[in-house]
Amino acid sequence: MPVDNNDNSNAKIVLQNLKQVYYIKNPGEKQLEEFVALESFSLSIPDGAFVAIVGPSGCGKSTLLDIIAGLTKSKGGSITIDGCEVSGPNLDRGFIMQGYALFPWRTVLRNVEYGLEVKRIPKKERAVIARKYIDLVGLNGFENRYPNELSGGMRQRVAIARALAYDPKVLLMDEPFAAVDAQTRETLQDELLKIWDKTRKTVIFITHSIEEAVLLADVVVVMTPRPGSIKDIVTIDLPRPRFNADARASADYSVIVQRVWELLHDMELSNRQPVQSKGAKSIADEITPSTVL
Amino acid sequence: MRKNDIDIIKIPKKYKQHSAVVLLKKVFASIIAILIFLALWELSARLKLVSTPAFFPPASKIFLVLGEELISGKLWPNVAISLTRSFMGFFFGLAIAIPLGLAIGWFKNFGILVNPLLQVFRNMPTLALLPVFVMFFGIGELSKVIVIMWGALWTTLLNTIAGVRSVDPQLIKAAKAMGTGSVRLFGSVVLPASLPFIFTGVRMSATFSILILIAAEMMGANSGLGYAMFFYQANFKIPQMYAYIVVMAIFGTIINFVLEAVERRSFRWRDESGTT
Repeated sequence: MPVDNNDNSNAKIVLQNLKQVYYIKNPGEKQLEEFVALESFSLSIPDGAFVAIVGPSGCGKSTLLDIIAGLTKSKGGSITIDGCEVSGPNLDRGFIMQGYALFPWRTVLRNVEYGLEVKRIPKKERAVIARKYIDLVGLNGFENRYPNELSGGMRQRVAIARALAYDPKVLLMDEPFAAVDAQTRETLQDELLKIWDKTRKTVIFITHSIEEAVLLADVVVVMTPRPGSIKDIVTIDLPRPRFNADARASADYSVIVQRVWELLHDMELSNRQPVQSKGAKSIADEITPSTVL
Repeated sequence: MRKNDIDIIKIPKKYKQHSAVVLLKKVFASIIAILIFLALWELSARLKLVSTPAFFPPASKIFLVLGEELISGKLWPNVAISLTRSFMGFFFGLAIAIPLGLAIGWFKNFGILVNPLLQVFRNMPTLALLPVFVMFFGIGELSKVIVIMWGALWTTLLNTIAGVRSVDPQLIKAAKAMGTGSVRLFGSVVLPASLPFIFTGVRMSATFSILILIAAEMMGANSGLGYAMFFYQANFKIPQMYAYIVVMAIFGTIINFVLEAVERRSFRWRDESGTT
């Protein structure tokens, strides 16, 4: 099993006992209520593994990724990458978000160059590297376009190229394909698999889609509702290289999807108490992270 | 997804040949309303539809007088001095408003600290301060430049603050995730993201600088467009008075036109939201 929560030897990323707490202000109460978003989350991920994380809404998936990215400080536990403790954001991790977050005043080329500028790579080299990754995501010819001239799928390719260009060790992807239409999504999934095959980055991929998780990942981590922790880790031993077309025709794929679905569905049912979920919704609006970098 | 998807549409040649005609039509469409207005003015003045015809000379007469002022050389010195005053006030205003706005928007505590003061100052009628400025800076050019600066800086200041504060948090998050430090974050994300806001403020400031200029010149000056207009009104040279009003309108329109053109060219990326 490539991913587990015990064995730390030879792991690229080690997450240990991560905990995140938010403080919520209830109307009429002076004292802040403690709200545990993430609890004893431990995971060891070997180099080059593709890990997908699925879980019910609000289980702390994105919180987890923000912590790994170094954007939010956790309330407990530790993260190490190649044995080094993570203390803040750094170019050793690439972060890709659902909303692309491209700089609209920069052309495609200059967007992809951004991380290289932070890395203080000379201008000429920057352009060469950026073009290589623009080519990798299939956007050559679009170097001088602005993001508003591109479709959603193309924008996400730019975001992927931008994250790959500065050569991070790890790619953190927070529901990257959730905002594009279903067909574009499948194309992007296939392309991501190809890119991953070429670059062999370690990937942590958060998604709402079980099918997507199973298609892409070596292992799918299923999380419990809040406080989020690991419910189960499902190994996906489907042969690679994988493509949407092949996977959908395979019986093994369906069985695994079904298994993950049951793991998730089970807890969503037990979580479905109207009073609780109603309360949770109004609470969620007032959440403030205890520490934001 | 491939290149030809968003290739720019090529206009067939037979339509291209008529582009001169298209341009002519456009120009005509943009001035037709003005022409009709002038025609109605001319007509109602000639037919003496207004009870005091002396106050209401025909449009042609106004333009004739304007031509005379131009040829006799009386117009240009007034335009030059007014331009100088308003540009100086405008640029000094920007020189204060943009850096201050960036600081207020970026440093939250500084913003909280100075906000009450800003609210009080902002709501002071600009021209009410002219006597104060005259007291401190004399009756000469300086007090006029300062009152124009005061009147012009507010829209740019407020827009700059709003621009900095409305930067898409996702962009900041993306930049931070790439290890961007706060100096680079400001220069490479916050500043470019707020530029369109700042520029809108600058355009409005230009308009204000002209408004305040005219009022200041009417209140106390011996040269400039506002002074000339006021002078002719007092001496009952009504066509001349109107001629100067026309000059002011042209003046303001040209400045706004130029700034809008610069805005369009500079912010091509902003046609629609490029972030989501």
